[in-house]
Order: sequence, then C-alpha cells, then structure tokens
Amino acid sequence: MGHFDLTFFVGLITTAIRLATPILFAAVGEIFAERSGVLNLGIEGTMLMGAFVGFVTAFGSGSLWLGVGAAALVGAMMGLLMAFLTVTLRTRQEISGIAINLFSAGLTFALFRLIFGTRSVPPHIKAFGIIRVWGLADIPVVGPILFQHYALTYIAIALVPIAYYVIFKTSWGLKVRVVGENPVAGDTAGINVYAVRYACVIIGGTLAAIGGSFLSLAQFNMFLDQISNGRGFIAIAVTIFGNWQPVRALWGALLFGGADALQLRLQAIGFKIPYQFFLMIPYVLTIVALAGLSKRVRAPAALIVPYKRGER
Amino acid sequence: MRIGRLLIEERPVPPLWIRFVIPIVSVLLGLFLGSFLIMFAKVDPLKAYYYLFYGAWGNKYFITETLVKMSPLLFTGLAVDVAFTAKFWNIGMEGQLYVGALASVWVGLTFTTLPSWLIIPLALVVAFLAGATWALLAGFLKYRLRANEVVTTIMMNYVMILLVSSIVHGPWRDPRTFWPSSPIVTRSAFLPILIKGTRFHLGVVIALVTAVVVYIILWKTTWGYSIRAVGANPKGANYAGINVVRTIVLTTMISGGVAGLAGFDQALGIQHQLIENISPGYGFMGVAVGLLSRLHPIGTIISAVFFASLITGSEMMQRATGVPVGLTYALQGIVLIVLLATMSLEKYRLRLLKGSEKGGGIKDGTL
Amino acid sequence: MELAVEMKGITKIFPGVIACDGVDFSLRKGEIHSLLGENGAGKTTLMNILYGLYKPESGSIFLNGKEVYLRSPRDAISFGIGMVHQHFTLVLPLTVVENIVMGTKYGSLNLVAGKIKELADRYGLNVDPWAYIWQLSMGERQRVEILKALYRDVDVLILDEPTTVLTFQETEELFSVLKKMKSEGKSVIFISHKLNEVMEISDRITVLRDGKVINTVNKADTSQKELAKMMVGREVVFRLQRPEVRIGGVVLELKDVSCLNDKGMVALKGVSFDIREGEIFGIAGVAGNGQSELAEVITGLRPLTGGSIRLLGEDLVGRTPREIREVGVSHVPEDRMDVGLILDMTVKENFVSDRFYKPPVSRSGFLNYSYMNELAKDLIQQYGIKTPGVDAVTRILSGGNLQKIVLARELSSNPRLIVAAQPTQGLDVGTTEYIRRLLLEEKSKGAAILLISEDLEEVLSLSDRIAVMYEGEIMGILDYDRANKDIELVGLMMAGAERLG
Repeated sequence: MGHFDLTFFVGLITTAIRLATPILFAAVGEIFAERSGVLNLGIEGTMLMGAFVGFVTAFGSGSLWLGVGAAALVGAMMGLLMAFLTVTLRTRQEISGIAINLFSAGLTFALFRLIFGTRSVPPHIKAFGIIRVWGLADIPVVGPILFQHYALTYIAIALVPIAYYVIFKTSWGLKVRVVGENPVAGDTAGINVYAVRYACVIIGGTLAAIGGSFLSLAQFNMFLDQISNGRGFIAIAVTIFGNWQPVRALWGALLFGGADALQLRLQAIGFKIPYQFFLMIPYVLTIVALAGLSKRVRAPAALIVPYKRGER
Repeated sequence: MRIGRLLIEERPVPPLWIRFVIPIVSVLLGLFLGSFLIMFAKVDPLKAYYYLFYGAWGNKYFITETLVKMSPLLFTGLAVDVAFTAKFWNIGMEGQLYVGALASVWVGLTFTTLPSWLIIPLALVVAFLAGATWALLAGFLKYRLRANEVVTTIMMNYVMILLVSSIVHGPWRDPRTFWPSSPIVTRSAFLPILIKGTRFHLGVVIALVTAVVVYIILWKTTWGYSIRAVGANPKGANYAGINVVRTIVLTTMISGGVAGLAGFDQALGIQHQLIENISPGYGFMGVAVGLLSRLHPIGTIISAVFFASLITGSEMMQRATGVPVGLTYALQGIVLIVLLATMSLEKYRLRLLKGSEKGGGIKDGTL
Repeated sequence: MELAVEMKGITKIFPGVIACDGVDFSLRKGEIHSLLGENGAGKTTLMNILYGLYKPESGSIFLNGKEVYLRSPRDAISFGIGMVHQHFTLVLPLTVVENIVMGTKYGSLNLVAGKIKELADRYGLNVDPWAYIWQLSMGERQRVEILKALYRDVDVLILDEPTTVLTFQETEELFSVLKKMKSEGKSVIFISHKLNEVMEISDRITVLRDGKVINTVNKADTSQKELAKMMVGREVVFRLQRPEVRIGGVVLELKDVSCLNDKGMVALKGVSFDIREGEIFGIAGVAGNGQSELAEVITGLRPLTGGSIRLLGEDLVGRTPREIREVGVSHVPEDRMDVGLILDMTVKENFVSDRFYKPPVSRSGFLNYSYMNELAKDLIQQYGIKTPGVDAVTRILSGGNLQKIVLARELSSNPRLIVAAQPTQGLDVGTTEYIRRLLLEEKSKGAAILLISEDLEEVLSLSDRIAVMYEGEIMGILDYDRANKDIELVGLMMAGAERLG
C-alpha cells in the first residue's frame, strides 16, 4: 500500500480543487438562478458552449482571457435564451433546459466541424498555466493545496463569499430570495419579478460558460465533443444538496472534484478494475447524494413554478 | 394586451388545429434558421435541403434507410410520450436503450438453441423488462427519496453506458475483432430482413405496432386514464381514488421498457452484437421526437420519420455539398427550441374588437 | 372635500368574464369607504386595478385630482396607495424586517427595525421585528402587512376581506388601528362581504354586483337589510324549505378522532359524533379550526393519529380513498379546482374519475367511450351544466359549472354518506341555491350528509344538528331549533368561549 502516502493525498486534494473549478462556477451561478425560482437544466449545454466558444476564440485570437470573455458573453446569451423561454414564455423549465442542452450539443458538434474540418491532429492551444503564489506555494502540504492553482480556480473560490454576501446581505439579494420563495409577494411589493429572474438566469449562464471555458482552456488544451460530460448536471446536484448556499456548494463541488481526481489517480495506479468503473464514480456519487440528501434540504418554494402576474 | 382595436388575449385552451400547425411551423422555422448555418458553410441552403430530402426519400433504398433509422427514434419517442404525460421527466432513455441492448444480446448469446420464433419474442420481453427495471430505479429515487428525476436519469445514462462499455471490453469481448465488441449473436436472433437488399428489419414493424399499442394504452384503457390523470393533477387523481404510486410505477416501467425496446431494435436488428456506441444519442433525440408530436403516440410516428429523415438525408447532403453531418444535430436542437417558443404562443390569440363589444357580452365559446 | 382617489368608467375583462363593467368609484380624503359585494362581484379586481396589478380595458384613475397611469404596484406605491390582500403576500422563511423592507432601498436592517417599532407604536400594531413570519399568528401577520404599507408612507390603504382570518378580538383591534389611521389623515378602502362589520366601520359604502356599481351610500342613510338587498338584487330568501324526513339508523360514527395538519401540528383532538340516515349534520366554525382535516380524515385523504371511524359498521381507518368510496362515501371537496376536478381532462372524463376502472364505464381495462358520452350528456342536462360539449376541456368552465360537475359525479354514485366541504363557496346566488336544494334532495333519499361550511347562515338553515368546531375540538352539538334560537351561543362556541356538556 505504498501508493497511498502523503504525496498521494496532497496531489489528490490539489487536483480535486482544480477539477472542482468548472462545477463550482456552474453551481454558484445555478444558485442565483434557483434562488430566484428558475431551475436551469440547460447549464450543461451552456458549459459546453462556453468551452467551445472559449476555445475557438483563444485559438483564433491567441489570447486565453479573450476566450474566457467570449465564453462569458455566450453564456450570458444562453442565459438570456433560457430566461426568455422560461420566464417570458413560461415553458416548462425541465423541458427548456433539456432543449438547450440538445441545441448546444448539436451546434457545437456542427460548428466545430465546420470551422476546423476533420484533421488527424485535433486543434489545440497553449492552455492556462498554474499560478504559484510567490513564497506560499512552496510550503509543504499546504503550499500545493492552496497556492498552486489556475487563475480561474482562484476566481471561482473567490466567487463563493461574494455570492454569499450578495444573496444574503444586499437588498438585491433580498429581492432574489423573495422572488424565489413567493413571487406574488414580491410583485405586490413592487419588485420586478421578471427582471430579477432574468438577471439571475443570465448570471447563471455566464458563470456556467466560464466554467466550461475552464475545461477547454485550462483542464484540457482543446475542445472535445461532450467535453462537459455531465458536469452541468453534477453542478445542479451540488446546488441541491448544498441547500442552495454558496459555501455548502463549495464543499459539494470539492467532493465531486475529489471523485474525479480519485478516479484519475486510481486508474493511474492500475487497479485491476476496468477503467469504466472509475469513470462512473462521479455519476454514481451524484445519484447517491441526491438519494440521501434530497429530503433534508429545503428548496426555494417557488422553484420551477413559472410566474404570471394576474393569475387568479 | 391591446393595440388599438386589436386585442391579444389569453385563451385557456387552444383549439385543435393549432396543435397541428405549431409543430409544422416550428419545423419550417427551424429549417429556415438552420439555413444560416448552411450559409456559414458557404453552401446554398436550398441545394443543401434538396440533397437532405433526396438522401432521405430519393429512392427505394434511401426510404428504407430512413425507416430503419425511424424505429429506434420511435421507441424512445414513445417512451417520452408515456413518461412526460405523467409528468415524469425521464431523460434516461439512452441508458434504458443500452440496458435493453445488453439484455437482448445476452439472450442472443445464451439461448442459442432456440428457433427464431421463440428467441426473438424472448429477447423482446427481456429487453423490455431490463429497461423497465432500470427506469423503475429512477422512479423510486424520485417518489420515495425526492431526488430530481432529470438529474438522476441522466446520471444513470452515463453509468449504464460505461457499464456496457466495460462488458464489451471485458467479459464479453470477442477476441477476434479489432474494435471492442461482443460476439455476434446466434443467427436465429437476427431480426429478419423484410425487404431484400435493404436493412429494413422486423424491428421497424415492431416499432410501428408499439406506437399503436402505446396509443391504445394511453387513450383507450383505464391504465391510460390513470396515467393522464396523475400527470394532469396528482392531488385530484388521488382524491378520485387513483393509486398515484402504482400509476407512477406503471408509467416508469412502460416508459423504460419501450426505451429498452429501442436497444432490442438496434442490437438484434442492426448490429447483431453489443458494441460500445450502439446509439448515437437516440435516447436524447427521443425527447425532441416526443415533444414535437405533443406526446401523441401516432403523431410520434410522423415526428420520428421527420428526425430520421434529417439523419439519413444529412449523409447525402454532406457528400453532395460538403455540409458536415453534424449539422443535423444542430438542426434538431434549433427545431426543438423553436418548437418550445411557438408552443407557448398557442395560448394567445388575436381578436378584433367590434364597436358593439365595448363593455358588452363576450361570445367566444368560453364561459 | 378633496377626492383622494377617483376611478371613472373602469372596465376589466378576463377570458369569458367581465369582472368590472364601467365602474365609477371615489374615495374622500380621511374616510373609511367600504366596498361591499358577494364573491365575484368585482371588488378585489377593482382594487387590484387601483393597486396597479391589473390594467383595465378602459377607464381612468385620478389621484388627488391628477390622472395617473399605474403600470405596476411600484407605481401605485409611489403614489401612496397600499394594499393588504386576503392571502398574505409574505415570505415565510424571512423575518418581519426583511418582509417589510423588500423592494425598497435601505441602509441597515437595524435602522429599519427602529422605524418599524416607531410606526408600530403610533398605530398600535405590536409585532417583533426579528421574528420569522412562519412563527407568527394570522393576526400578527396581518399587522406585518399593514406595517409594510405604512412603512412606504401610503395615504390610501386598501384592505381585502381582512377579517376572514381574524378572531373576534383581533377584528376589534384592527378596527381601532383603522380609526387611528383615519385620525392621522389616511384614507381606507375596506373590502368585505360582511354586513355587520361594514355597518360598524364605514363612513360610506359602495355596493358592487356582477361587476357593476349598484349604489354608493352614506352609512347613516342605510341599513344591513338595505345593503343585503343591493348586494343580492332581490329580497334575500334566507330560509329554504326543509323537508320532513324520517331520520334513520347511524351511518357514520366517529370516536375520539385525532390527526395532524400539514405542518405537523394537532388539527383534530378527540372528535366524536355520529350522523344518521336522512340527517344533515353541519359543522360550523371559523376556517382553520380543523374542518378541512375532518373532511380529509373521513374520506381517506389524511391519516389518523388516534380514534376510529366506522361507516355502517365498517372500519374506515387505514383505507384508501377508493376503498372508502366503494363503501358508499362521496366527497365534495372544498377545493374544487385542484382537488375535485382534473381541469386538463375533458368534461366527460371528469364525470367518471371515481368509477372509470369498473363497469359500465370500462370493461376488462378498456374504456367504454360511448357509455361515457351518454352519461355525460345525461348529467349535463340533469344538472343544467353550461359547457360547449362533453369533450370540452374542463378548465374553461366557470366556477358554478365546475361545482355542478363535481356534484353530478359525487351524487350519481348513490352514496350513503356525503361529505360536503364548503360546497357553495365562491358561487353565485343561483348556483348556491341550486346546490342547497340538491343536498336537501339527497337528504330525502336517505343519505347522511356531513356539511362543513364557513357560511353560518348556510349551516344553520340546512342542518338538523350542528356541531361547532374550535381548535380541533367539538365545542358542542346543538339541534336545529336551539342553534337557530341561540345564535349567540353558537358564536361564543365558535370563538372558543363556551363549551357544552
């Protein structure tokens, strides 16, 4: 059992934090959306679009951050589309989300081939590098875990307290919570329910897309079909058993990052179990977590219910 | 909302003709929007659509190919019809298809001594049960443990696809083949080809029959009544005496079972063995197929034919114009989004206010 | 005298219904003006328009003499109009302060709490600013709603049926708050259907009926009887002819029944009574004292925590709703739209939702549509249900017709026991009288009827015996004569102040 020494665990936790990044972005964004009452199942597709657009932009322009920016823009647009479908047209939220996922999968599949054609060597870019915080990065154990990460990872983690503050300590955050619990109350108090929901869903889409760009610009250095591979749904699960709170979602994202990191490491160690079972770990974990925790959490009361003023 | 004398008002129930018009409008609008993508590929959209149509319907062979592609889509579309009618958002058809394929191949490899007329029905039943059981798990998770069924069924897709992959790489791996696959099933398990010289197999007919059966179940039986009632109003259904839990179990099993038949169709009708990517996403496309037909089983046939045409036609389109095959998937997505947008518009209508109606009575068929 | 509010020629149309038909309404500064009318008269709709929630098809609104266009409650509030709805618009998991302050700009919650305390003292609205709404009683929650409006400096306060959820004591407290507001120069619009309250608190009264203004009068110039006549349009016939029916043996027997409500608190405490053949047993009481749970427990929609329920000797405890229906119980639920009917199914399907699984509606699992069509046509004719056809989607029908479908179905199964909860709630006078006649007909046929109604008049006039419920207990059972002679006793029991035996 010489495999499981300190180096293993330090490496595991560090990788876990890195792999948690896209899920964390998406989950924090989804918390905004769901706190306002909208279940955005389309973040899986939005992440995919973010990964694609980010990659193409970075490939074409040579700038990684421009790629991230482009991804954010596309994410906002996808959020806008989702908000339009669910808030204005009041389509069933489950279905619009799935539609957006199918749409994104198809569009990225087609556009990727249209733009790059078929090549034997897939197009790639020089990915983000890890930022080593001067001085702190070399502390044993803590150094790699906390201070050797991508810029985007630091940003994702910084988002957690920011999101917490905005949602629970600002007047706009109060509006969001009101709208998600009792939109009728909010409307009669003069809150523009539609505007708040639009804003939250757009924020959710933007963050999910940025999380997606992390996949193609940092975690990998290329775009692959289905690169998001279910992470958007995992982010939704994280939102649920994080009880719609940013800090708890952070732990949830880390848990899944950990599962992802674990399966990579276990594969590398070369257990006799087929690699597919390792790949299954995050998905099974999601199912188990939802099965175990869904009863103990309290969703915003108006989640999934479309709002229409004048409903008697 | 009023613009001059034009009133845009809500109506509680859309008239019947709208339900036909909306899908057609969505398809046309979707194709229109898709043409922008085609232009992006520097191809004339009309030319591209011509080849798309030709590749799907241009000659006898193409037509059979389209129908062959229709059958798995019809199965998964029907699965969506049943589940969504009860408002159980089963997105797990892909996984249910895989487990159905797995079960069918198991039968085909195990019961090698049985004749066709025994082994094929056996495989059908086993595939149905496999899909039903897998879906039942998701139903249990939702109704006992309150786990969101969209997320769980999607996760279960990944799990089952990986499971099949591990089996195909592992215990069932046929050492003779280059690509990982199981051995070919016994000859008697091959779904017979019904039109010589084509791939048109029995599965297509079974799919059509299944559509009729699902239609009858949903609209002509007491089971169907329960399913529709529970989907429309579970509280009202419970009050009236319907056993909601039993109805949900029934729904998930039928839905999963029918999706499992899609796997049966692919495994014994086309591949005759178990391979890793036995489905290019038929399960997910089933959502679009079902929704486009507004969850009506007979309409799903037409919807499945439409989506199948997109797939088979796209190959010809690529060969003739260079537009990549992937475009069809983009088109599917666009049509679906347009469908959702237009579906919500059916709730409104335009009415011209006559002078006498200002403050007078309303005669519009509603009460 | 200056008019705080003037509404001229307001017309509002919803699909299939004219809610307001050319209504003129005015509110003087510093007056308490009541809007009186039955359910569906248009009072709430009119005020929702004033509050910016609805946009009228035509008409204009003037505030302090200037014409205004109200696009949303935000606009209304900015013009000094506040509204407290019948169903509170409070967010339960948040605190009083957060609820009051939502949608406004504020510095710190502590500052806000201070201002709230000040307002509370000035008007007599005591409540803990840091309590969570789910912890508060209905009366306290209403105070929060009023504080919400006062915090926003409203000059006009609209109250929609404020006393339906209050106890007698709380109603008196509310009235003193309103009088204090009047003395501070604020104006109040008081929506109600309760004649005695309107006569107590108002300066002027406007009566609405079917969306039209019948009259606007000074309180001094009118009486309850006059107002009732205006509300209903004719001499109100308060009493229906009760048929002479021989009361038979015991049909339903409850012993010591207890159960919990949805929030996990005790809803019924040791309730015991029985109902006989041919008897109408009425349950009187203010809503929320366990009546809903009582109906649910008998019909199998809610589990018991103790006691027994027997129908003709058969134990009903632990049985499913279908089993209970099979032994002869019918249920007219208080929520006809979300429980009694499946609105997205057709009319003919709703007629058979209780029996579709057995012959003659179905055979060996297959539905017999021709039978369903025949049955639907018969019932539609028999009950005078207005519908475009048997295949119409139930959602489009009006409240009265919806209730008729429920009754047609529930009564056509020849039940031994009918549980009728709020059977005439929200319905027009014609349908209400029709339904009461139907119940009396069933009584003549020998059915036992449990009638639960918040309409005391209804309970008193139809029931052979009346039980008064308060906080999950039966305070006493009176027979028809005693209950009608001694209404004060009934009122005291309803308020929990008196108990019999």
